[in-house]
Amino acid sequence: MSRRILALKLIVAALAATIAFHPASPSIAAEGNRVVIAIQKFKFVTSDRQIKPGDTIIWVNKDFVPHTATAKDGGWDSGSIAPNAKWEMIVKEGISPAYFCAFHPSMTARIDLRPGKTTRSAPK
Amino acid sequence: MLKKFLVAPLALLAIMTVTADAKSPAELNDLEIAHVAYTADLIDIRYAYLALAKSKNPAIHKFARTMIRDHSAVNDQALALLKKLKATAQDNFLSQSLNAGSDKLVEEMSQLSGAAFDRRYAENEFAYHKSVNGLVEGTFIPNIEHPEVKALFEEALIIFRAHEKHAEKMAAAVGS
Repeated sequence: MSRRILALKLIVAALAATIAFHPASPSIAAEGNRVVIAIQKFKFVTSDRQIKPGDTIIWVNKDFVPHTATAKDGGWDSGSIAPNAKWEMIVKEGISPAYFCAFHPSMTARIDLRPGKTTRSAPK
Repeated sequence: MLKKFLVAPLALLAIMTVTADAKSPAELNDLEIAHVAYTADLIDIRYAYLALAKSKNPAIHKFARTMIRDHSAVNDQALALLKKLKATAQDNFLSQSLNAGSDKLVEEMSQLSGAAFDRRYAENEFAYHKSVNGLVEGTFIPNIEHPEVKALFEEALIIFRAHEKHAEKMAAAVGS
């Protein structure tokens, strides 16, 4: 075996070890749950699932007009979510759970925010 | 305040009553109903563009942009459905009356400015949506025969009810 082939094998082995000990980013992102909230018939259709910091919420617009998911305190905002489009947000500790559609203010909802494993209770 | 809110509904009612001898909204077929709805959407879009041109109130602008966005989307859906059904909407007495009424209102609102315009626009949006929603819910939806046309009107009514609530709050905020 030539030195060049041996060096190549060592590099491949080193790379394999690196991948094994440092999982790719999807595994890191999967630490939190992913929760879908449908926007349908001018309502935010929430599941009963509790949400904690680190989870990802995915708003999916099933109406044929655009909507937004906008925090009442202005701390976070999806911007326009087009029909059949989605927008996702990783929940951070301390965010405002109350939100509404900026285009249709009568549409209001609240994230059922519960404390995470390593965090204190988030404000309601 | 109440009198102002009643002006537009009564005007619409008058349109429907005056012409009732010849024909009433309850006698319109699906394609005529589709034409009325399409016309009503275009009228509200027209009011919204006028509001964007005349008003300086950000809340009025925000509402007007939503009216343009949503009513355009509803009309796009209606056109797509008509195309699918290989049908054409049919002009009728009610569409024509609505257009004639809106011409007068645009002329009237064009003479206003500032807070006076904002009040007139907001009170009309509340009254207009309330009237048309009543017509859609009480007369059109029960009479529409084609299930897909009926389903579209039911979905559109949810949108227009949200507009009505929004307009009511906007009218209160600008002091109508």
